[in-house]
Amino acid sequence: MGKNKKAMSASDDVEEINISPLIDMVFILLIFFIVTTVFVEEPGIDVVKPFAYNAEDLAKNCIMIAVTESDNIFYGGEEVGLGGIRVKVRRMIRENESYPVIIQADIGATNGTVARLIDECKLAEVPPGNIHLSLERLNN
Amino acid sequence: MTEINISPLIDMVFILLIFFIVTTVFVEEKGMAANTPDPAPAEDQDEEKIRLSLTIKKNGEVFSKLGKTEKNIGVGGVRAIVQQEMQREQYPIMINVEKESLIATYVMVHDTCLIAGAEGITMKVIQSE
Repeated sequence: MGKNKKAMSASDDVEEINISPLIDMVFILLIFFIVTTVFVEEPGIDVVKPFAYNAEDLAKNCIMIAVTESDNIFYGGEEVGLGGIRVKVRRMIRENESYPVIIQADIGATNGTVARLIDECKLAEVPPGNIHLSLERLNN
Repeated sequence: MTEINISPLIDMVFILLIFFIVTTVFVEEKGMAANTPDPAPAEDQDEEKIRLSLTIKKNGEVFSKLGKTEKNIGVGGVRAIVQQEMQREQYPIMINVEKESLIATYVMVHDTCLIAGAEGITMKVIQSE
């Protein structure tokens, strides 16, 4: 009997590792990722952003539009013209009124295109203060 | 004592965890507000003639216009003239840009205006000469 019990406890030690700390950690990681996840449609193209000292942190939930060096406009991974952007932005704004628009303009983009893009966003009922140019911050 | 089998729970939690790890993008955008002027009544535009306006040419030159005097000041000269004006009276500044000028130049001028204490900066497109 005594021998049997000893054998049992020995086998228990081998079999059962205490996994509760692991589960705790996994839960904490899960909660972290749930909280930090934002579902933003990226423009899907890399641009070289202009540099500035006065660059403030922008909201994480936003509508991102990119303007490339050759003045092509990208939204949600595909190229859209100036004419197509208003409908897309308006649809997003109807769903979430507080979403700011962030324009990622390449340093080689022309002001004419960017200004027309801002005008289109204003026509899509984005409040004027909610349109931002994406920048790289310089530290002084 | 009966133990509840928690392995399916842990499986599910792992799957959720992997889903969120994969879908997370860390968006950290920094930027400045950009605005274009609203169509203004004619009388307002008359008033603006005596105030400072900046013009960015397509070749990157920056001109200042104060009253009737127009000067080629370049990006480096923006800060001094804007600071001087803002100390006298605070008013919104209009940056006129030629269509073909680059956004990099505009951002530099806008940034300098902000450093010089200006507020309500708008970007107005003008036809290039």
